[in-house]
Amino acid sequence: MDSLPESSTSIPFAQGVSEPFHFGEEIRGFSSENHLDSSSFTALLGLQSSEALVLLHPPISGQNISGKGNSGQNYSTVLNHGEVSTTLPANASLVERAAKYSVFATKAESDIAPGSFSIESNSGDTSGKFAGDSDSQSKEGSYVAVDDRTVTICSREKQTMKRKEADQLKAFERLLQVKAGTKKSKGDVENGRGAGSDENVTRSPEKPAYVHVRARRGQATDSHSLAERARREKINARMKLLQELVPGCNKISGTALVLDEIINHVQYLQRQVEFLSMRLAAVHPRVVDFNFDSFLSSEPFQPFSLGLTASNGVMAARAEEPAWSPVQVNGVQRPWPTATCANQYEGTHSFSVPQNPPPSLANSGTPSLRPNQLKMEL
Amino acid sequence: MAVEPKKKINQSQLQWKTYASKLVEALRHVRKRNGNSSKISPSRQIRETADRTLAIAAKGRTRWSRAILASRRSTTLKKVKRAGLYRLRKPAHTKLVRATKRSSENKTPAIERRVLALGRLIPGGRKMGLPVLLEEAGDYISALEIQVKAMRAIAELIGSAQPSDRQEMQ
Repeated sequence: MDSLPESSTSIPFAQGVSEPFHFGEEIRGFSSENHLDSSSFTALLGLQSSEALVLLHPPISGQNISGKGNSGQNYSTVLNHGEVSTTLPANASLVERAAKYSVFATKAESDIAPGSFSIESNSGDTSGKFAGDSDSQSKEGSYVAVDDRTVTICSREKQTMKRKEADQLKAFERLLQVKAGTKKSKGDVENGRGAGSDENVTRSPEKPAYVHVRARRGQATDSHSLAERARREKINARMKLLQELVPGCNKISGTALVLDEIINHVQYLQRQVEFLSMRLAAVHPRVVDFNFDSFLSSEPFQPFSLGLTASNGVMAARAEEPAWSPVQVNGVQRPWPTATCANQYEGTHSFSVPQNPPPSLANSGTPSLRPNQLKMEL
Repeated sequence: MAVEPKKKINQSQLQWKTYASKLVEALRHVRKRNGNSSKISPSRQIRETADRTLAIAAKGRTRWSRAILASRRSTTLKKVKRAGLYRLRKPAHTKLVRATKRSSENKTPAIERRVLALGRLIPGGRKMGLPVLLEEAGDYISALEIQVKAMRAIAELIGSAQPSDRQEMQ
């Protein structure tokens, strides 16, 4: 019945609304707290040590760190389905360094609760083996890419991620590193690609935040064009995601037309919100009492009309201005106070989502009788 | 398996139902608070409440949600002013600004116009660069879909209550 597509994949908002108890959400919570000091994500990790341990799986190619000391630790959070959070770094990434050293040392403090993990980032390394590992790794699920001011943790949900999304994620992370780098030297990034490269692979010095980009065959290796190309790739990856989101965009080719479709879709949705708010405004003042138990309960899906109470607020409105009594959210039931009505409705104001079935069913049972009763009594 | 699609359905249902409950709560709250005065029309008020609730539900992870919450105090006047600025500002100017960046102009003017239009649609989208904007657009679109679903459900619920009320009153 709904014309809008169900998109439950790879949307941070969706994650936030539906799963407040996910690990990712906790990270978000912490990230919002530690907003200013981005390096204190290490504190976050320290707190989440046990969970982080669970998430970070044992090393594949054991490159353990030692003595990296105070190398900058930055992580960028990766949401569950492979979408990167918006706190992207502006500055250079240390992913390359992470790839090389698999270090997991904090910036501020040297001791980390989780201990030392070996981190495989798919940013690519000079060794092909590493690349191969990273390729499979992204499917297995957890790695930490070290980056400036952001945390990357791929949760274990990544295991269920489709290959395509994994590729997108990889592409995005690749571009992430490239974008962050100011200077570029030729390195190995495009592991998964078939395009050959005839560039030299050089190592970047440790201290400055260099990003390694491999130029494809026959393309210019100018730093400007490299940056441009990386940026374009990132943009194209995101456009592809958007195309999946907006219905009917898959067949359209060309950036401008796709953008048109996206804009139209956003406008259409906003207009719908506008209409619905007008509708609600027209209806809103008169209906005071709702019983949302049954349709808001998450377990079985029930039709909307169940449990809807006829409002006695309408009766009250005829005599006086509707008085909105405060609503108690968590399952407290009390009779709805009415001054004018002789009948007392028993309204349940609780609409917390997890609801015990018996009370909701009981409530949905009784209010439906009320209108009939009232009718008869009138 | 039957379990997985059920889980997925419940998950998406849970999303908008959670939002719907928050929205109802917010609406009641606003109604209660609205006793004194209201300069804004009720539909606009509901719309803004819904948007703010949406932004809150996003928990501030996305830029558009932060932009919505940050501009909480803005009245319609500000929006009108801003819209006027948009029209006055020459598109050539912004193109020039972007073209002088180091990466030089890689977007054709047609695309650039659309990008700007998209930035106007998404709250806080003016300041974002293109890749960020696209990402925010994806998130915003899914959020809007949730909003529409929830509001439609609420409206139907209320709407279906009306006829029975009228019957009672007579």
